[in-house]
Amino acid sequence: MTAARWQWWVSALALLLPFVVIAGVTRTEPSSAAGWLQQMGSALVERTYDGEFLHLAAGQAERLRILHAADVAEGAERLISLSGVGREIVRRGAVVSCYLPDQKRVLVESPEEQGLLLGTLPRFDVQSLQANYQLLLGSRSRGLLGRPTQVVEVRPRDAHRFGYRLWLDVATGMPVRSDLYDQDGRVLDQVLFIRLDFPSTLAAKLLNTSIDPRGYTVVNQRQHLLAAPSALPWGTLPLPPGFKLISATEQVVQSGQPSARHLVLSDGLATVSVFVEPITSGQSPREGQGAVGSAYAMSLILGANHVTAIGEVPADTVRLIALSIEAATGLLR
Amino acid sequence: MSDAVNEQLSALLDGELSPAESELVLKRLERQGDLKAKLSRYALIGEALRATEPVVAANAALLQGVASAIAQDEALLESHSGTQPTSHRQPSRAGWWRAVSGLGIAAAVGILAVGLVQRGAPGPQVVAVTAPPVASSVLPAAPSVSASPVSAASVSTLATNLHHGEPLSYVTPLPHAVPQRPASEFANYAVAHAPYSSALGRQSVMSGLVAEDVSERSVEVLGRTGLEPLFPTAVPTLATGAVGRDSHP
Repeated sequence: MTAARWQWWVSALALLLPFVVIAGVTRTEPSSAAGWLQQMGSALVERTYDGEFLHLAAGQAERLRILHAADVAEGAERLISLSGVGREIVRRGAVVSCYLPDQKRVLVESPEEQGLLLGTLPRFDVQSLQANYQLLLGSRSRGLLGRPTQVVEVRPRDAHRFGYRLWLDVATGMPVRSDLYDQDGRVLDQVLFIRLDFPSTLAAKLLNTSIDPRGYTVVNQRQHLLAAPSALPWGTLPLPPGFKLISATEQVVQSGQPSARHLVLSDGLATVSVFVEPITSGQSPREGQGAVGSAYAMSLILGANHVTAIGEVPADTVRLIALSIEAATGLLR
Repeated sequence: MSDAVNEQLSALLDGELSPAESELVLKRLERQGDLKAKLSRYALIGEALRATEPVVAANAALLQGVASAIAQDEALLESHSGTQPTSHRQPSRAGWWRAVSGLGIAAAVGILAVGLVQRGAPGPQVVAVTAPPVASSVLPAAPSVSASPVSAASVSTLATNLHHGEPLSYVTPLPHAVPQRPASEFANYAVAHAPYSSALGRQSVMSGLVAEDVSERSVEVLGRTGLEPLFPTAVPTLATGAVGRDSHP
């Protein structure tokens, strides 16, 4: 479990991050879709909240609770699965701990450099987002949870990416529903809040895990930054329109195998990871495509390398990105 | 799923239930009784899409059910044609559920068509991409990768007709036929990708399948980097007391 994984919540259902980076505090009601998204980004970071939501994806439903304290200097959040075995994730600043009671493990990331997290995460702005997506202001309605909501749509400009529809609480800007939809309009991933409160304070015990971790194995993970994307010597990759290389790291992905080079490509919202691993003797990697949750994946063998691309984009986009690696000078071994 | 439960779920999502009523519905959801059957219908379609064997052809009942759902959805779509996705009308409680139960199947079949066309002989392919349908509320199904080419033409025609428009198309070069791989083979990659992906991060965090592989990978990382278990000092907690501030809107 990495610190950045927790970032999914802070990054607001895949949309927060672009606007957190650039958003200021907006208290007046926005007049544009971009303004609403900026306000959503601010609300998710600056408000203290306690909510429950359903996450529906891949034909399964899961109920989760999110707690977020806005005024803890280093940041304090807790995500609890109310279904299944009761897993929890607790974040304190850049340190993220994932408690897996069924495995009696705690997965921890505590980056050596505080800047690593931001350094490896994509940086967006509204302009780069709008190159590939239309930001559309939808209807105002009575909405969800008895709250008036404003619908905002992030609609892809072509078939290389998925879109989002967001239902934002008019009073706060908080998202109360989020749909990820594909090029046929089919919803692939959905978050629906069933309760959302804004308490004035959250007791510390609510932000700490309720799991007694005595006897648990604690595991740390590390990721090594290769270089700034602009300094990578791999030439221009023939990527699908709008996608750019935003990060390159090296990390162990497969147990017992050498480190993989991990490239991250983004169009300003969607991200695709590409892993390039040397094929070792005795290893027989297989080619093929598949799906994990709302993401598509594809593996190829290019020379002596096993290349795997995965991301929440259409299967064809994943395929094109995987194939583009063949043109990366010096990347393949 | 009975209409009463459908409406309860709808009301839950509208915030119209009391806490006690919400708890009852959620407990029912967690027990996955009727809802499980409902979800499994979507999952079954997903399975058909992923399968390497022609399960669609083998499962005549499913195909019949899909055709029936399309017929119903046609009428629904007709009545909604011209509606922009962003001008989502808030239907009544019953209408909300009709949208969920009906358009979900239609949308899935639209994907089925794309998947079936995508799967095929090696070489350049023309992939039909239909325009997004009208706004719909559906329980998300598993993404479709592809399926056997059985009935591809007929289903594709259905999907095209479904949206009453000419499909867009684009050409994708394929180096060779690509076999299907199970999700478990991509689990480690999904975990490593998750920090960059909010949607996937959510799932991999709590998904048993992926988390199993997380732990395997983590142990390996631990061994390679020589890190010792840090607990309890590396698992920070807050001091006792209240934190937070008045953040009421």
